[in-house]
Amino acid sequence: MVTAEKPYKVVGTRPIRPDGTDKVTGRANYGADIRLPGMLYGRVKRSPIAHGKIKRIDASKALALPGVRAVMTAEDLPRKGRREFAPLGSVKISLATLSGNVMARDKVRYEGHAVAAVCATDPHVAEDALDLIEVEYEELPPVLHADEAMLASAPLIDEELHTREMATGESAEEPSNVAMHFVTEMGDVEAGFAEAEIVLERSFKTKMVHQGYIEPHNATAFWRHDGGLEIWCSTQATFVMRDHLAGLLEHPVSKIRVTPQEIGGGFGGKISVYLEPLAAVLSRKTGKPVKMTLTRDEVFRATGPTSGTAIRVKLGAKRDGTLVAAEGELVYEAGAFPGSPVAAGVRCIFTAYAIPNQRIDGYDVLVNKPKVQPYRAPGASAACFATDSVMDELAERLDLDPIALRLKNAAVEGTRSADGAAFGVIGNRDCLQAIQSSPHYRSELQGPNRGRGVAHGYWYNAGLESSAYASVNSDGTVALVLGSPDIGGTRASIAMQLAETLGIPAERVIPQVVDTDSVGFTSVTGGSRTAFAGGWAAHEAGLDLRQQLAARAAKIWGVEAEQVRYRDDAVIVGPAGEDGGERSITFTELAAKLARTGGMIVGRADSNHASAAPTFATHVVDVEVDPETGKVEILRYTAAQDVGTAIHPSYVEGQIQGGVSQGVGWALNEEYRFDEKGRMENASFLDYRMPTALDLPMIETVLVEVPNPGHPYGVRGVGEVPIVPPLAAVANAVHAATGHRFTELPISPAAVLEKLLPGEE
Amino acid sequence: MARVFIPATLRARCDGRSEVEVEGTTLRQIVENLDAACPGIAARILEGDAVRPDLALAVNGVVGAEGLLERVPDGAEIQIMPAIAGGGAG
Repeated sequence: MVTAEKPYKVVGTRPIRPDGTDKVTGRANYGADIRLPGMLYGRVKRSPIAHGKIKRIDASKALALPGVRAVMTAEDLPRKGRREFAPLGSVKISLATLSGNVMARDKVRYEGHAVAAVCATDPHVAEDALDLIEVEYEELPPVLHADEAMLASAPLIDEELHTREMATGESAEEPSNVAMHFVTEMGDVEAGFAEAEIVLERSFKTKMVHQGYIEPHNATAFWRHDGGLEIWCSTQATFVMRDHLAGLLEHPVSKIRVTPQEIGGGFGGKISVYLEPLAAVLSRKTGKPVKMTLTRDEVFRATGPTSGTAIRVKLGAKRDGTLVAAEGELVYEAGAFPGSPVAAGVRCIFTAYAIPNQRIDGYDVLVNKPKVQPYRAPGASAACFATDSVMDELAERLDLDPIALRLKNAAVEGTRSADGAAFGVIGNRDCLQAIQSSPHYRSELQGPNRGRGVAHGYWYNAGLESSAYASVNSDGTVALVLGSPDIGGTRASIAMQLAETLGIPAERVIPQVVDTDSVGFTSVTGGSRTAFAGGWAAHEAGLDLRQQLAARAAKIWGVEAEQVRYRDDAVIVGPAGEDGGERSITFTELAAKLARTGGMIVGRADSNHASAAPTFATHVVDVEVDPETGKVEILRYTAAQDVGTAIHPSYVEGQIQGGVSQGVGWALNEEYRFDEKGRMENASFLDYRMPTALDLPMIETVLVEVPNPGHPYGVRGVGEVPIVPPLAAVANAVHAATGHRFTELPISPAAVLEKLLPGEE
Repeated sequence: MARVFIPATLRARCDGRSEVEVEGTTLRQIVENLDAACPGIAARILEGDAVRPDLALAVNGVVGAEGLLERVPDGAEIQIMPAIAGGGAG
């Protein structure tokens, strides 16, 4: 459902996606489809233990196997310092962390950590060679939980890591598994709680979960004899990949070209490098292209899920429900290297609500598990699970409608978050009101063992740099060249914004995602920035075209450029001619004349606008709990979201439905299960249970459109916030159905039965 | 004049104040003038000639792309926050 009428011709319509035919007919090229002459196949030797010192690596037997061409280890990669960084959007990533994660040097820090890589003429030979690489370890006790890792007596995963205070930059004297401590404080928390008439304090835990993208990571590298390095891979960030490879391999950026292939899902998990530097080194050693593809088992064990968390939330309120104080403590597992999304959790945990007194502490904690990576609104879902579970209990205790309680406290324009920033134009209350007035919320839920839950979430969204080149073709179409890998329909939504600017049908813009040598710098496809920033770049390229086309028409007519105007209906008009009539020419007519009147025209833009606007989402879900099996069934789910302007509403709805589906899986089933030695026990889709279409009803969406005043078409990022509320919404619904509060996820059948059948086996 | 919000752990350097008003038309000038008001604070915010890799300076809640060259309009609010990234939607 779309709630607003828009003054646009293209924006807000639902054209067929430009990449659709290739994808549904199997013609689209993914990384695994790459075939090059003389290509070799690489595989990775991985650690079978979660924590240990590497005493010896002997690859001689592997190298003697017929067909094996090369073996590499960390010794083939430059050693990087802790304070050497590579850019990732507005953030900088430690090259020591990146390098240490792609290949273990002195220690293995998690089961599945790469220790060597081999390439051979045949993938089966490469696999056989893995068993011939001998690695001797000195096994160390693993640290598997953040609370245990924070103890002074815990084994150290990194003996040189000292806790760093975010704000001051100061490091603790003693080494620790706690990489970073964040504090955000506003008002007087003590006085706020003293003023409260009801105080609730609860603790929550979530497990490590994976993004679960369908396509495993892959990379093909060819290190040419002239030093040029070609990479073909599945990535959300071609330019970031190029820059990170330059840092890791100490190879000039100008010598590296990254060509993105179609991508079968990423959700944040395909930003980091894994295989690319390994394939590059193996190619350098052999002089041949080397292709590497992960198995599903490797994707689970050796790529980046999101953090397991432990969060304590304390809320203080007046009897009428007015929140007066909040305290949060967030402990996020970073995996084996620093860099959990706890800072984002700190930023998001209370931000949907106006709370005058707040203190939030966050801890980034190393454990012997895979290094976590971003996952759709990184850090916000677990934080929302904690806060909105307590909000639900608060509503229950105060006998208030849960939406009314949230509306009473909803942040509005001018409300400050704990870091001092004040909101601009936001659709926070609008989302709550959209659910409050929805047919779903107004319906009566009947039947035993059923319950309804709501939750409300926030995500801040990003801007960053994007480029776009737009070439006018003689047939009146426009070739649009982009640098953002398309993980969620951004080719279409960016092309539509250019079409709107030019006043031509969407189908007349032909978008293409190209390599790093063929378009200007474009930052990561992530942070819900791509339709915002890519669309803005396309709009500016369109304005450039309008100006050039008007100038060309003026030249043809022999008048001054200032006398000619490009109208929004794609007709260029000029002053009256000798016959007294207004001169005019359509975009298509002029396109056909370009070659003979001075040449074809290219519009260009390199945009970097910092006016991305935050977004909010309110969800309501009905569940039924089977008291005999403990299974939770989702009966009905409605998600309302402030989407700014819905450029292509079908894609926006798809993003919301996808985010909800992943959130439901996180709430009910998904978890990394480890044995006591830190070995993952469920590294397959059979045992790692993600929801399928059979597990979910049609997810209803309400697109609340509060345009972002900082974007020419009012765009707000839409892809991440839909995964924020589902965890809490489902937990609150299960509470309503069973009377039990679930403070730990997943709410699996076993966890439900444990509550429903106390004391029974 | 800009209003700088001081994170809790840096307030000791600013006599316990949570906000400090300083002159400046770029973030570089703001940090320099903030250091005059809160001696030693610039060393906590900067590393070399740039903002520390794990920190970000926001102007009116927005982290821009120009680092210390970012323009600061009169009456702006400056926040000192962790540098954080997003994930992805598809």
